[in-house]
Amino acid sequence: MDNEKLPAELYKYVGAAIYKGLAYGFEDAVFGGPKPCAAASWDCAVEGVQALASLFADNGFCLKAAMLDVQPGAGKGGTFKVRGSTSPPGVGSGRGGDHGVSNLRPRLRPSELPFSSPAAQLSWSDLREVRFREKIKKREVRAKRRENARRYDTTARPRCGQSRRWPAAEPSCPTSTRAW
Amino acid sequence: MVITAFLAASGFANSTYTVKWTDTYLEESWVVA
Repeated sequence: MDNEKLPAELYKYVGAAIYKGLAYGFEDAVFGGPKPCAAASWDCAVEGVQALASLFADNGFCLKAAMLDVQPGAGKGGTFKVRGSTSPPGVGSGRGGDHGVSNLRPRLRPSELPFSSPAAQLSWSDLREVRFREKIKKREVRAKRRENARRYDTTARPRCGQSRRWPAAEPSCPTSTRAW
Repeated sequence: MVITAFLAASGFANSTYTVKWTDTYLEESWVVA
């Protein structure tokens, strides 16, 4: 496992989880965020990002969020800026006046975390545990499927001494190997 | 990261951005392709 890939991987994983919740709802909260565009179109992308920015501001995740300098490119893409205000006007000290947002900077920017930091180690641990649990769950599902296939498979020829459902179909086998 | 996820889900696989922090705002400059 390459440590250098952790911040980007974690960022991607968390971002996808949050976006999924915003678009389709979390367990106990529905935000009505923009659904993915059916096709990659610039207008749809701009509308979606604008909707996300408004959603953040409307729900208090930032004081204000807006799209600036929206420029379509030559292809289907383009450029834009998203600016989110973290402090009320005139209170931009970065300490105390920004509702503690400045204290969150290291967590919001995992690419800048040193790998020796406790936060980075905690992230590795969390990610590893989530993947471990998923792996165990998949293993249990596979085992269950194998068990069901073995139990309900009517096409398999019963082995000597193991057919209790259709004794007549049981092949004859040497007395010494019968499982009485 | 949420915008990245939205763009990726919408078919824009190559979107990058740079971040500028100040005491009062966070600005992300996006290039979407």
